[in-house]
Amino acid sequence: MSYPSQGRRLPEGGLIDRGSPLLFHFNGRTCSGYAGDTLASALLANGVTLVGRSFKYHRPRGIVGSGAEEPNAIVQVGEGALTVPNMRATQTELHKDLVAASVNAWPGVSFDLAAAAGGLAKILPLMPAGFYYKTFMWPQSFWRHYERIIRKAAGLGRAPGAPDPQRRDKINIHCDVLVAGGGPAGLAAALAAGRCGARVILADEQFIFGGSLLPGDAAIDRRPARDWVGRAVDELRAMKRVRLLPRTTVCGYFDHNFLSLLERMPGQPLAERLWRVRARRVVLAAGAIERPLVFPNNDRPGVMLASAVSQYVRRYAVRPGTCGALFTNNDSGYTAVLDLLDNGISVAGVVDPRTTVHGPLPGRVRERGVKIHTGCVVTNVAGRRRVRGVQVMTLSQAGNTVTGKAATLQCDLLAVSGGWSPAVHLHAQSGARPVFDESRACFVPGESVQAEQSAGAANGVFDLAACLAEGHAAGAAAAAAAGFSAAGGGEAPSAEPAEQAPLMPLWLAPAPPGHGKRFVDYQNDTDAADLQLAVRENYRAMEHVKRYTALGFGTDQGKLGNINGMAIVAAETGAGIAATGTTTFRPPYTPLAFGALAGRERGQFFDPLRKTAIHQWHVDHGAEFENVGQWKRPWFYPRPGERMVDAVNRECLAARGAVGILDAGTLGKIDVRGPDAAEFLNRIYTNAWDKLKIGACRYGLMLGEDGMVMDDGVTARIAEDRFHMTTTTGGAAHVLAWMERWLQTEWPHLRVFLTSVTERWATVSLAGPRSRAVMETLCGGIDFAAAAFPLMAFRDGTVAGIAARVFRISFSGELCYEVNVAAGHGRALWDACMEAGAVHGITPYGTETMHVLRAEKGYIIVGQDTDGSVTPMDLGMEWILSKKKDFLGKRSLSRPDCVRKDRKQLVGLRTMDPQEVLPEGAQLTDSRIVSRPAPMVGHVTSSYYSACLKHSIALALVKGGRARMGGTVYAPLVDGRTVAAEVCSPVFYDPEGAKQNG
Amino acid sequence: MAEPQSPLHDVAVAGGAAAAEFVSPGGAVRMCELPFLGHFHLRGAPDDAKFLSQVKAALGCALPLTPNTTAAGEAGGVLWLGPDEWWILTAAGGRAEVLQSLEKAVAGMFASLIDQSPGHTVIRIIGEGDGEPARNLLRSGCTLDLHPEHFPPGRCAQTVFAKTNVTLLPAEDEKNRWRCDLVVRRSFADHLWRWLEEGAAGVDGGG
Repeated sequence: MSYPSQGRRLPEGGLIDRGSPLLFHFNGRTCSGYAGDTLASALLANGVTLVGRSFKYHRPRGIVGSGAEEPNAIVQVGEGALTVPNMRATQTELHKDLVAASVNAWPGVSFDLAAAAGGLAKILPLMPAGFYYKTFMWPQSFWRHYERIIRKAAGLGRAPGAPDPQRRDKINIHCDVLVAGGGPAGLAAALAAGRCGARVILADEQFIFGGSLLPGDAAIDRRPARDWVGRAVDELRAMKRVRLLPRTTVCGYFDHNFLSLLERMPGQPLAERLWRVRARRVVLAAGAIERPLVFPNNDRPGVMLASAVSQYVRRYAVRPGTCGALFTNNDSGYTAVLDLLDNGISVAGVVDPRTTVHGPLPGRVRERGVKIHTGCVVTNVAGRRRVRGVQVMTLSQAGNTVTGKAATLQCDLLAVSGGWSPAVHLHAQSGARPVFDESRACFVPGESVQAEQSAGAANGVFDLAACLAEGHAAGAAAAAAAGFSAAGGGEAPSAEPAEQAPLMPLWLAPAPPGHGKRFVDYQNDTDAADLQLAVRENYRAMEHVKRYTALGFGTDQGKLGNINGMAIVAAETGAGIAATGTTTFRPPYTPLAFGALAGRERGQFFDPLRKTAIHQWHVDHGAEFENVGQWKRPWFYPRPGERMVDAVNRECLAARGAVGILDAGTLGKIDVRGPDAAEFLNRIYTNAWDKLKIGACRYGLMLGEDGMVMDDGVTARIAEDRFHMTTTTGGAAHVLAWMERWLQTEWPHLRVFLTSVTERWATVSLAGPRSRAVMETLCGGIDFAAAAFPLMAFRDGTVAGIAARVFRISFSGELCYEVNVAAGHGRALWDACMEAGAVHGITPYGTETMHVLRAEKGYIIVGQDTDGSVTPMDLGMEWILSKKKDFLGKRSLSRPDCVRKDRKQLVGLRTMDPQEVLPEGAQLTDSRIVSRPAPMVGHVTSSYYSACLKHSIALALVKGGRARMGGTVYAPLVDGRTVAAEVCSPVFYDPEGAKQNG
Repeated sequence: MAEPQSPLHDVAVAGGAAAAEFVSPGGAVRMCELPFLGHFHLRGAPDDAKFLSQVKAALGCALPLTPNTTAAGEAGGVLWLGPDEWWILTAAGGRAEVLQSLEKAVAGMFASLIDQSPGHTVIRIIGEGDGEPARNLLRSGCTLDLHPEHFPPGRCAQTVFAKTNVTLLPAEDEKNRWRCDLVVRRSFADHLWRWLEEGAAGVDGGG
């Protein structure tokens, strides 16, 4: 295979595997890189400098950073269902056949329509600070036009259009010490804590540990730092209680030292894993992010962080330019110049606003013959798609303007360094507030509010020797706080302290009149003038300025520009940086996919599917299922060629004419036991329970404290001190919790135990005139004669040889028996019933037929015919409200609102056209022709076609409904028709109850 | 009387085995159902000396009174579920006898003894090697600290596992392998089994 040459790759060096070349594709071009590259380093090696267009002005943009801070190299990675938007090329590990494209360039990076027109700002004239507020707010009707253009022009990536084929999972883990960041401080901390015997997790977002040591030539313990990293990792790997997580970003820090970590495993069967960590102690060693400087046209491709220049040259062996220059206000930036020179790249000069520049690093640069323009700033960058040179002017005495004649440095690469911002993100997420340190000119961690401690650069400590010492001490202290002896931590690694002169804060470089834009937030095109305008318009609080100017709103969350922005605002308001403060640091630290949060909880595992003991029979016999709560219940059993309506009509007629069989095992069942059980039920239900005879059942209604219907069901008295309660399928858990709450918190003196026995029983319901015959075939020891075994009674016996409890209760209005057996025998019971019932035409029916049958009888379903705002009186169930005792909800029933005459009441509806089935939820009006908005008098709660009655039936809640019997209401439908219906009794079938009592 | 079906009957039938069983692709996690165990749900007053002594006599061990601990008696294990609540697990054989003697022990007292055997089952997870893959499988579904130092044999925990209520019971088997029994309600057993089967592929590098 042939690989395109990597014209900008240095002939040797770097932490890349030159033996493993990799082909990849960027914006349609085939390129090559090496294992160990990021997409960004590989692009630079291939001479790709233009990676995107800016959001607002569509200015060409290049790679600025080398890590999480990157604002410009935002790419769409992968194709089809695997595509991921808004990845940072600087954090994208290169792999074979990687496909990536710029997200923020339409139709292309090199030819960009919007840029040709002068950017969005030209398409939508004037985009100053507060653009969103000023433009999109008015006129409102124009938003759809703005939105269409902006979405397309702004890019921001595409979500995949197909289901995610990758496997993602979550894992919960506990540890004594979590170390976030595997640089010098983090490695030292993990070593110390691990040696103490603590359970340690060390996570680093990069694919190799080492952090800032990777490009450098520092020495630790008098050996090259990279060797020390290797030995440290080996030692940690050998510790059984230490877990190393490379490619893992600590993305969120929540209450109670709960943190979330995203681990990426490219090319593995498990693509990503979300670690949900509960850590006793946390050491934050997340390092620091170098700040850029804010000067005219500082966004030209080729302007790059000094630390990124060093990374690309030394770690990736890439030449990010052919001739460099440096603009820095501190000593550390000079490292980049040395790295360039060491690798044969010339440096045109250094621009440093400090008037005296001493210290070892600038000294070494001077020795190499590079001119340092002290007391100067960069006032312009020439070149549009690539830096062509920089203009340098002298700072005035006061430091607020520039003077003199401009000098020019010819270069195509400008390294910039404005100092370092500790990565205080996780510290801030933990609830703490970073504080501004004037002497170091950066925000450093404030007082901890959780069990965490920052170490190293994340703590504002930038010297390697100090980082190592602080990391080691933090690791040992964390282990000690977790209960281990800190004495086991061993020796701290050591390095030579390096001397650095203090930086000169330079938040906004002065510029001559007519200067170009000085960008603060590259991703959102926020420039210094926008921030200043916001302050002039009286936005003073940082959170307001952020929202007004979009500073830090991008996918990078302002990692690069926010601190500069805050300082510029502070200067403008005069409030000072400390008082101005930061905006809120919110998780995640870097974006993560929704799929990572979902893990395996999707598709069949989104929620448990509960199955009855007879489930497989239903599957084998072609049932269509419906979800009732988490249960899978048979909905109807279509025969070949049958539509749903055909199947339901057939099932209804079979239950009314012969015998139907229903799997009723999902009903909630609660054992209520104890000397005070009857008294307990008196309080829970609206009706009285003390006089219920053993062997008998009673229907009960439960109300909430507001007097509204909450649940219903039949409860049987098994013994003097023992009841078997049934609840609705969906309400079972809530009812048990509700009753436990009253028992435990209000009535602890009642001696009652409540136990869910839903799962213990399988329940098969036989309904229809032939059900008695089937039961008689199957049973021994039970007399089924109507007088011996009346409605609302139960008997113990055997059914098909299985110990059973048979209830004679009816939700269908038919003669009906509900047989309860131990769940393991449910299937055998069902099979026996089917066999014994065959000669009687036994027909399985599902929940739809169950609903039709009960609606024909006017029996409500709590949650369908009630909605939490319906009283028993509204349902015409005054008869179930005991006047002789108190019960939950009773007092609420006498509230004025509950006794209004015009409350909605349950009625039946018969459509004038018997074939017309009203839609459930249909609103009802008083007249056929209504003006809008129409006064609505009620709504349909249940509606079916009744095959038995040969006309449609509906239940409805209608204002003052019971006084409207025989009157007409109208249902205006979505299709424009209006259907007339007569108000009638909700009991359509067998009002005398002869059938169920027969 | 017909033979009862365990909650994972259909999994067993599909696998052609007497009870549901599964080995993860890489062999690090084994899983099987322990069907038809006795599951007895006992409620009673922990300060009632007569209740405690009679139950102790019936079980051959005292009811554990320390939260989230277990006791092992002649008849099986007893799990503390709450201040007045215990779960008694017994072997499939002899389950009727244990129930009978417990019923006798609590007769006439303010106590509740319910045979929950038909409504529950146990899924046993066995970890080969150091047990980490098996624990990682469980860690993907529950938030407890499962490290043997923190959750040793003799402890139990009621928790939500993969959105399902389960009781976890860690142990070390005769081959010194880490294992954990999951007591689960019948209607959730199939969901839990499939969830564990699918998850096992992700933890032992086999799939």
